[in-house]
Amino acid sequence: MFILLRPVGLACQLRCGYCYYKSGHPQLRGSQTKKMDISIVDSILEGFAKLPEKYHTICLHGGEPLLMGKKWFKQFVGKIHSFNEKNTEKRVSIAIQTNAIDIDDEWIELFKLGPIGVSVSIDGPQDIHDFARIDGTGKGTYERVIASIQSLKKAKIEPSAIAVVTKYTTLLKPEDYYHFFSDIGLREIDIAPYIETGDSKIEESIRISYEPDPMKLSSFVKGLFDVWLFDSNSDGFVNIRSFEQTVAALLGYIPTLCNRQGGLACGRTPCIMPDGTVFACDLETDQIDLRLGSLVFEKFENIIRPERLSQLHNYIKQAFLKLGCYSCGLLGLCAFACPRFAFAKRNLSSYCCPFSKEFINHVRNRLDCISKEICGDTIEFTTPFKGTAANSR
Amino acid sequence: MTPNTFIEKLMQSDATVPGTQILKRTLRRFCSFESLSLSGKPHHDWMNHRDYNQYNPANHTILCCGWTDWHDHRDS
Repeated sequence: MFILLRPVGLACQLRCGYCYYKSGHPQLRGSQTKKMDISIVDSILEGFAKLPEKYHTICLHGGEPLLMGKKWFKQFVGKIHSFNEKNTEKRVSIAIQTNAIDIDDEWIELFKLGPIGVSVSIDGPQDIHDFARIDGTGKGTYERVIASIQSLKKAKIEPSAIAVVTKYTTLLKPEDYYHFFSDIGLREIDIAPYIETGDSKIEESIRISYEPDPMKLSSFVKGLFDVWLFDSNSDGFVNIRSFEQTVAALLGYIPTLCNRQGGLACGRTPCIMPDGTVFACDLETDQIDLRLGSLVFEKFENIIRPERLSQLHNYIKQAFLKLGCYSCGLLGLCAFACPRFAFAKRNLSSYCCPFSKEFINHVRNRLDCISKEICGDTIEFTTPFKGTAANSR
Repeated sequence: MTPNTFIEKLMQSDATVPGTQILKRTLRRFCSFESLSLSGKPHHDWMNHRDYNQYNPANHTILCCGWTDWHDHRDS
């Protein structure tokens, strides 16, 4: 199981212009009133011991998780180590998603205790990054993030990265964007196009500032895919997770990201707030209540039991049915089969569907080209969860 | 040609066609995901059965959209 743990809730030093937590679920905001007591971690680990899964990941997330402090972090790592020693048939891994501006030598030493997978948030070249990702004084954070990446690499920790794609990103040449990440030494990234759900007036104004034009986004992402696919023989290869997911799903593998599961995985990547409230995911919307329960009153393994999740899936399924996702044929390939988009106030079909179809067709064409070269024939592509497959659950 | 046939030919191929290296890499990574699933069934069981009606995400590695997953169990 993959868990997002928010030890400081949504607290953060940055004031990123596009931050979608600004207008999140009222109950989510209400559950961030204190820092997480370490006993919450004990409750989760007790649940892990009873769940059938062998492998678990706890991803520290925020807000900015490093705000929890080094003392708490050391306790946290100690508890994970202790669990792994006592439960030799299981393994819990640690990951962290950080804005990277507070990483110093002491943090790096603590990361080495893990081992801990460190992912930083960086949007691209300085002008792109600093347009959105500013601190409380309005100053850009690019230089501090780059310094942290270099420090991590010097300490033999290979960070990965998440990059938000805004309308300004799409003005870049895809090859320049790709080689930026390669040049700063990153080898694993994922891209997250900023697409507004329209759940509040605040978000409407953010959309004007950040959301890419769908045609430009499509052109940019297709170009980036080509660079990713055809740059693979070079030493500075940068893997892009979303592309990997699409290729694998087209060739018949079950995708691993929750948003490629047609709603079936909702609740399988729960998000836990400082007060012990367990949400089905880190979705921020007031259109659906995704609270599954509280670790204060219930055991973790009960909160995420299949009966409770199936109620949630049935509810989400109605939204997907209404949007026509189950008859589309791209379920399992489309990155937008997520309640964040299905329950959005704004009708996103005209934005997301053409983009998704065009990109997936582009990937198909590229795979067919390679197939013709190697095998002299094209591929009969299949689609995971097509039609009644997901619908029947 | 089925995806299975393509995968088999691709993995056996020594061709230097652009794109083949990253495709091979991607497929190897997904194989390791499947081998870590609770069911223990390797990728080819899914490919042969094609029975997604029986798919249960509780038995598989699921990762949250957008966040860190690269330093997980795959190298263990």
